[in-house]
Amino acid sequence: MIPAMSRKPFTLMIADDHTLFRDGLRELISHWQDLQVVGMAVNGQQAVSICRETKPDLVLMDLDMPVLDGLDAARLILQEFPDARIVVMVTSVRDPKLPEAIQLGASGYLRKGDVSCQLHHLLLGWCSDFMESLKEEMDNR
Amino acid sequence: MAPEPGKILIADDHSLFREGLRELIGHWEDFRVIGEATNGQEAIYLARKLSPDIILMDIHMPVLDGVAATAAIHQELPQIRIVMLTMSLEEKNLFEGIKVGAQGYLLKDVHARQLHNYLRGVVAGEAPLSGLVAAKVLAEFNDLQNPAKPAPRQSDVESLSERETQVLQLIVDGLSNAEIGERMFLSEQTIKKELSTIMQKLHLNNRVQVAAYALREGLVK
Repeated sequence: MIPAMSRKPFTLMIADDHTLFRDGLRELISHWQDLQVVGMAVNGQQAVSICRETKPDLVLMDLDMPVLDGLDAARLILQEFPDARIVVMVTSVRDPKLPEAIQLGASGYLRKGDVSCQLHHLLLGWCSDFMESLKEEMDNR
Repeated sequence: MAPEPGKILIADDHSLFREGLRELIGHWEDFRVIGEATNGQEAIYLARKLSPDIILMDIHMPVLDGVAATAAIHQELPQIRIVMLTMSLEEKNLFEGIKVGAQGYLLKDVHARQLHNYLRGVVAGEAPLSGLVAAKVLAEFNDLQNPAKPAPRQSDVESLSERETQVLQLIVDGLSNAEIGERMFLSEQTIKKELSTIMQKLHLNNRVQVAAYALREGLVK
């Protein structure tokens, strides 16, 4: 169980070129009060600029996108914000770009085939120092 | 009383896509999702069990792909309208789905609002096309050797009125009859009549053929 948190919601950005997927994901996330989608990008270039603007706690990044793909966008974002947390979204763990993404500093990956009940826990786990802050909170009690 | 909402079955192997789509459709009063299939085989099973009005069918799925499932469902349950969902127009199997009985196809990069309009069109018995998809249809039509189909003559084409040509352009642009009506300040009924006149004049049977023909003959941009 994830205890109710008094802190502000974690902020997320979604970068994916498929509108139906992007909007659907935002709808799913909108049910969780501890997470808030603050930006949506349709390609890597937009992802970089929205990241600069909104400095989200977590970036959900599709790897295959037009203009600038997810790998290059992740590289640029991490250069500028080394602490950025980027989770790449893949259709399969055999995606050849996945190891490269992890190597350049992605915090993790999400399969588009994962079910949404896992998603909430996964996202919270990735967001900032959730586990540490939880531990701290427990210690302080 | 409002009519029963259209029953939708979603077949896609990506849960996050499926669940997100379900959320989006959940906002519409005239449609509801009655089932989710994760592969083509499940889609066939659920089509039999749930009798949906519309199936949104992904092309690439494990076990049995969307094209094979479409063929099987269309043969057994022809009243179900199947719309293929695809990531890209470059998709090789895109037209296969249409050939085996799908109503049309949509790119996954459409907005929810466009999907909604599209599905309303499907329920109303029309299959609007997006302009790009129409171009793809054209290419496919060019490949088809179909001597049985009489080609419209030049005089048929010339007999189209200015308004009919305008309607033709909007069909190719992918608008539904209602949307064309809105654009031209005419009723949906009038557009429907215009379309049937166009089909009569060009000896064509449906919207897809009209769009493909108009593009092939350069009647529209």
